[in-house]
Amino acid sequence: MPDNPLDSKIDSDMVNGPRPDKNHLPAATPSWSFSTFDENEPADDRFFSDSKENVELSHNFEYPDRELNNSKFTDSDPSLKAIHKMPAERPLVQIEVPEERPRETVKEVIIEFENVTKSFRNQMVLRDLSFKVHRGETVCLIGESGCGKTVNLKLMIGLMKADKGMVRFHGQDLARMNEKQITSTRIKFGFLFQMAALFDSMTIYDNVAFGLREHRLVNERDMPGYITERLLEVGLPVGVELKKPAELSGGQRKRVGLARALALKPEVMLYDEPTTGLDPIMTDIINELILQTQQSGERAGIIVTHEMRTVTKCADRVIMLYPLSRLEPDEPQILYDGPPEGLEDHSDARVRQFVRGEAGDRLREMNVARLGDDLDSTILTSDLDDLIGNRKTISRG
Amino acid sequence: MGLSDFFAFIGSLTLFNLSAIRWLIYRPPRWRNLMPLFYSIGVSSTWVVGLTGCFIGMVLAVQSYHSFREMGLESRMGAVINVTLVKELGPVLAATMLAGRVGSAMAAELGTMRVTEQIDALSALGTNPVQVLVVPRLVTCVLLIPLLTSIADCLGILGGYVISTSLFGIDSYYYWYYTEKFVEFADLIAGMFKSVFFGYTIGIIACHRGFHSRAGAQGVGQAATESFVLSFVIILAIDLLIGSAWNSVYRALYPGVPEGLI
Repeated sequence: MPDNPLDSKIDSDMVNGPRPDKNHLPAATPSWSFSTFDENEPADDRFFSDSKENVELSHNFEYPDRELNNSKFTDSDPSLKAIHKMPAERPLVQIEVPEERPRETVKEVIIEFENVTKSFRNQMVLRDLSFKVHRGETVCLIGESGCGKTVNLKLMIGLMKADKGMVRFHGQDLARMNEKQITSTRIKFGFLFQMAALFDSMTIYDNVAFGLREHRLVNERDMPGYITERLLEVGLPVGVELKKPAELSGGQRKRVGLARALALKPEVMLYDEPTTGLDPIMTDIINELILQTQQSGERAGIIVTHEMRTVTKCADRVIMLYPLSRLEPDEPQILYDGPPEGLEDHSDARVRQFVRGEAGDRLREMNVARLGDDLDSTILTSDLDDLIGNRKTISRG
Repeated sequence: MGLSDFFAFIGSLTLFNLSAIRWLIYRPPRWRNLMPLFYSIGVSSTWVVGLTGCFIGMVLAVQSYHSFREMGLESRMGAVINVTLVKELGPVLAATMLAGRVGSAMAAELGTMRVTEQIDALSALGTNPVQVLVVPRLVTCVLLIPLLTSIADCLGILGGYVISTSLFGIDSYYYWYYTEKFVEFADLIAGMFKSVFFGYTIGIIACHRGFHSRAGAQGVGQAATESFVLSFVIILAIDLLIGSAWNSVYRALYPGVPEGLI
């Protein structure tokens, strides 16, 4: 895997960092409210490899703590005591993100949108949308609120159906799949919802275990270790698995959502506004986790976001959508499709304005609506109140 | 609500029903998944159902005593009170309480799950929300409502008996004599039989309303209200339908029974 120097750095520093042997951790004693598992059934090997030493993971990325599990830590080991005093938020090692990450040119197409149109009642949201997502690619979907970014994600896993056009996964039309095929397709996706969408009647443990139990991917005996591993991976401390989602902070909930999605080892990760509503530090942590998740080079990722830091940090490619209400009837909805570096100085003013966070014409429109058409277009909003005040005095006078 | 909305609603409810029944047959829920629901739907409804049953028995006794007294038939009150309770009021009352206490809570819970994308998350994890959420609730409602009905029946009979004998001084021997003479096992079965349909109605309407909840606190609240109102109306309609059907069947089976006694 690590043909890229960055990868090996992340491996050794961030993931392989101080971490206890799971056998020394307090055993999780979850409530089995949704357990549908027969303990005697064999589990899918690819989902639990720790018990079998030197068995290569058949999946294309690895969890690099196998070495640590082989009794590197003992009870007398002083570093273990330090680990038990781990802070609530496990610190992530900051790494420098190089400006350009190596990208291969020709890769397999995983998701393909072909002339997709989608309306809600009488409001058209997506019009004639076509794009492709390739293996290992991290695509950021940006655009104003209400321009159909989240709808795109839901179309990809068949939660919504396109009115016209086709959404294909590995060349197969989602609309023509039967229920079984849709299910097996959905398992290949991991979806991090905007508000995490954790099942709030269940504990964190049961949340992460849910998909694994439903599809019988991990043996119930191996489950506690596997879940702890997934939670540690997203930097959540031991002990969190017994809590209910309502007891966690927004950032922690997002991370549990990520752990739940990653537990099924998806081929494609979909992130719906992963950093919305989080503080800057937590935003950075989530960005880091996304980067860490996507770095294997095999997993495609689609990130719907407004956060330009996420775009610059994680994206290989950026697609910018524009709301249809502001477009001419024959204009394409995708304003920009290319590397994140090209956004800042793009020839289209609308792209530049979005990236820089300048409202531009919108302010004028707003002011025209408020004050009438005779307003000078260069006027600043901060001056408006004075202007309105002057007018009132004039009209009174 | 326009006519087209009405038909759209009927259509969506029918599809929802079919999907629930399909999943029930295709993948019946496990006992250990049902247990928490048994508790929240059944066990915690016991008291309120029993209490209302008891009161309705007492009210029946109080209301019917004077009319019967004028006709000099007060010793036969037991028959009237208990037939009414077992055939009609017990099942309907238990269903009403269940629709109010459990149905609207279920609609609100599923509505919140819809609004917070938890139902989408179930789909995204490759499971079917109908199978995971609806089928267990439906099964629980159908299995438990006959038991709740029998609790309402028992306490109603007890309440009516206590008021009749202690307050109105009716002889306990005649009270039970006429009860035994006129209340048949078939009446009891009729009530239980109806209640199963009531339970199904409560479960399916509550889940359907929850699944189709609109966004926001108001949407969820509306889902809960609609669930109660709708299921109550449908329960009464079903009551009328099954009641008359049952009577015809009964009369066909036992042609000798005079009209008035059924």
